[in-house]
Amino acid sequence: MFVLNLWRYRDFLRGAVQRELQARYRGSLLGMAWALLNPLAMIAVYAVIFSQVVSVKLPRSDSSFAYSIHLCAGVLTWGLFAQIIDRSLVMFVHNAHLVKKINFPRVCLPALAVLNSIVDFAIIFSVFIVFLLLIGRFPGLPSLALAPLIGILALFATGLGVALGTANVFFRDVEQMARVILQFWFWLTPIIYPLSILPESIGRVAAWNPLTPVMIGFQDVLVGGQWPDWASLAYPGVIALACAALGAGLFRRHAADIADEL
Amino acid sequence: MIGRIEVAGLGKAYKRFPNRWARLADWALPGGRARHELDWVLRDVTFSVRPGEAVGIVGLNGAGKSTLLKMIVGATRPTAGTIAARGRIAAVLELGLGFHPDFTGRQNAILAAQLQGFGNEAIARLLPEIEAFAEIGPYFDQPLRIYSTGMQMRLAFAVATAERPDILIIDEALSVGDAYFQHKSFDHIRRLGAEGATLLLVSHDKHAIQSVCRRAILLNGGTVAMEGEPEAVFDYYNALLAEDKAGKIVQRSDQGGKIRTDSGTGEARIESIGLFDAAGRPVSVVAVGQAIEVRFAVGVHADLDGLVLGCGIKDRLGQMMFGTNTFLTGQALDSARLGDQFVFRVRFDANLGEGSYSVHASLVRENSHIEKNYHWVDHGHVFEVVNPTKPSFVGCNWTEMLFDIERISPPAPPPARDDPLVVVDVGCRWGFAERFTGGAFRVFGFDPDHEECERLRARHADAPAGTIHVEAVALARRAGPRRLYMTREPACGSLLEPDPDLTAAYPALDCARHVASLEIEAVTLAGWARDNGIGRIDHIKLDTQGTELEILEGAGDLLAGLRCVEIEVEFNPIYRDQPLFADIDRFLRRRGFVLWKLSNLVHYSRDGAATGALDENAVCYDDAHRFVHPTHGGQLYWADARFIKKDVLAPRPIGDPQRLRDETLFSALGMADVVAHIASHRVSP
Repeated sequence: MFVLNLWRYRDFLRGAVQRELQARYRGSLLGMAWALLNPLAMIAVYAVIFSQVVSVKLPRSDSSFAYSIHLCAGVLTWGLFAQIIDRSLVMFVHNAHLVKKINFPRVCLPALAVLNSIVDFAIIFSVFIVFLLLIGRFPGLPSLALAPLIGILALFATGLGVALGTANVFFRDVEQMARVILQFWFWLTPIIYPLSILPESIGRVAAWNPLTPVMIGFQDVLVGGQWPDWASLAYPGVIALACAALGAGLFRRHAADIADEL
Repeated sequence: MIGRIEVAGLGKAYKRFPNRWARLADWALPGGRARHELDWVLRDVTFSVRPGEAVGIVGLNGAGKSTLLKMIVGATRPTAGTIAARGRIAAVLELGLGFHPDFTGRQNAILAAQLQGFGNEAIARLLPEIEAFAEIGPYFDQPLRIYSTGMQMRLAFAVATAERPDILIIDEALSVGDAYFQHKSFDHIRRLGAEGATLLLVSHDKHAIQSVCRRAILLNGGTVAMEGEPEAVFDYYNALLAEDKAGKIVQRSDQGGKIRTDSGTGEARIESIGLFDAAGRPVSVVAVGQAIEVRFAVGVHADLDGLVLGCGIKDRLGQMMFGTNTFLTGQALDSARLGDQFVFRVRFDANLGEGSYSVHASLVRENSHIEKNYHWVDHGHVFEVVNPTKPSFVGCNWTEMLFDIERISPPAPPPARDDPLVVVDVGCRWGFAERFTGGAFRVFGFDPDHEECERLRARHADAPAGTIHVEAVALARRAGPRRLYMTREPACGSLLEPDPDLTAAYPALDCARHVASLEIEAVTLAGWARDNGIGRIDHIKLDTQGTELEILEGAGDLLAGLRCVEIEVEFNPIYRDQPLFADIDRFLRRRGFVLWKLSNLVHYSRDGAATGALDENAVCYDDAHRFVHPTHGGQLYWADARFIKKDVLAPRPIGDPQRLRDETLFSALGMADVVAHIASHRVSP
């Protein structure tokens, strides 16, 4: 049902993604070039600062770029996770004018939140991959593991985002609360730091964080050039599925009332 | 059935929670116990709309109209009851279709069409129509934020109706547009309705609903208060609007079955309404434009601090033709006392179209009936307007229209035809054929002089192949040898000998002085036509210095098909033995021709001396045009005559081939009077 509707509205979805990109860079001289320049600058800063200026050595690696790669691997993928949630939170509220007047499949809105985030991520991650290729640190075959890792991350974020976004229609506190929690979550996930530097007590707590094995997986592939620990991904995989079920359930139950509440 | 709308027991309620935590509990906790109350905005609404029907929905603000539409569209879900609406629904709800201010009109049109479920292919097909219908010109590619609301409306309407929907729903949106676009939109709505689309129209505008819908539904307080003819529904609606204090609404059917609405507080009442002619006699049938008077007797039943009488004339559909009141004319009464009686006389000319009309009257305190409504009467007096004196017309309003017709563009050349008209110009030296362009004609020019023929061929070298021919042939009564008399002025050469006395004595005729002779072989027109496969000649122009009649005599059977003869006629001989006008006229009359025009009357005097004005001559064209000019000395020698076949003036059915040929020929000849005569025959085939 959801899938059928999305397929029927594929031209709308494609158009909406394009319009979102156009709208962001509307009126700027460089236009879409900014979509590349922004991530380029970020990666360049990370690369220069942490390899040349502030030398940070990772326990497992001796390369001068290792920490820069570690940072990018974490920050970029977290970016995808946070963006999906962020967009989903406000997807109904910001599109109230459409929801109240037009009868179109509501599932288009979460789909757009995810699609837009994935497009952004694809741009920035491509730049990162090119950077890896240039400095000769592309992981090779283990890079295939990126697909399931991104899959789990996106599914997790989508389920959570749809659940929160639906709730946010009825209780606007959700949006504020979610943003605060995301801040904490970021620092409870080994993104900036390697998990090994945490004291053991906090480390045990961090291990409950479903994002931890996913992040470590990304770092294994991108920094270490090795396959992730597949067994450790079972836990986040199950959590992601559960969240997706929760999101779908809440959405299904309340979608019809959304127009009345906006 | 596609386009049917079935609404049964429909209700919509919004949940009301005692506090925010109850809402959270209601949301998060499973289980049956309801922690909210329901606020019903719509309850137990049942109606159905047949496919292709147009129904208006009327109601005060908050009556639940928009909620109802949103549920039919599917944007929100009913709390109770069911809606069945089959087919594709297009809706213009309030303003816009979820437009984005930063995107251009084009992008927004695409977005809106996509939201309606159209794919890119369909949109590419519809977009030019949308752009054309919206008529916002270059703004179509400008961002929406610089649009006026009217322009947004245009765009929204154009998008919603680009593809014919099975059900079209319009919510008040059209009241935003300018008058021109409203007209255009309503035309379009009516057209969609005629094509079978089901229409649901919400409006406060009675005219809008009446012009489109045959049925209206009045929503009041979330339920259907009334359903029926728009006029009756609106009367009730207006009364609802006016219902203040204890005002009570009574509707009763009058003799004609129309529902009459009577409402008001009754503090003042219209006791009677009468219609009278200028002489004061009561009338019920009125002629278009007749001066009439409507008389109202008004009784006052309370002390009033203001009394205004409104009077209007409505047509049988309930459309207000004209209405005003004594407030607007500056004649409002400041006060009236209990027991006062008034007679109001309203005089006007019944400049109305034929049909049935009614008088509508109201007694209010001030300008509008919302303020305070004493008494309100619809269809107070019904009368007929008939048209015994004015030219027939259509519409609901008599006004004198004066038509002034001026043709700016030259008439389009007639199309090329398989069977072209044949024109013969004998003595074509002065140029010919310019009149007969456009492929409908084949023109043959004749001149015995070979050199002249070469010159003429060169002159017409650009003409389409086969349309213009120059024949170096001399035409006469009989085939055989003839002598060509060449004259000082080549154009005056003739097969007849110029009268030497005349050419010597008349300076103006010196041009025709004989200077040389040439033996030539003449042919007849009939013989030439036979040799060249010409079976019919439509028009002939003759200017051959005296041999015109000869040539006609040699035309044989061709005379039967001839429609028009342009011929130079002499009244006194210039050439020896030449026939004169009377001979030609007799000849042509016998063959079914009549003289139509005589022009260029040329006089010569023996000494050539111009004398002063002698007398006056008048030329009259009916009584409309009379031209008087002075006559001078000299004797009448020649003129140009036009004869037409009498048969041309006989009625022929429209589309008759001969009629078409005649119209083409006489148009080309510039004889608009003959063309008009032909066109005036309205005979059906």
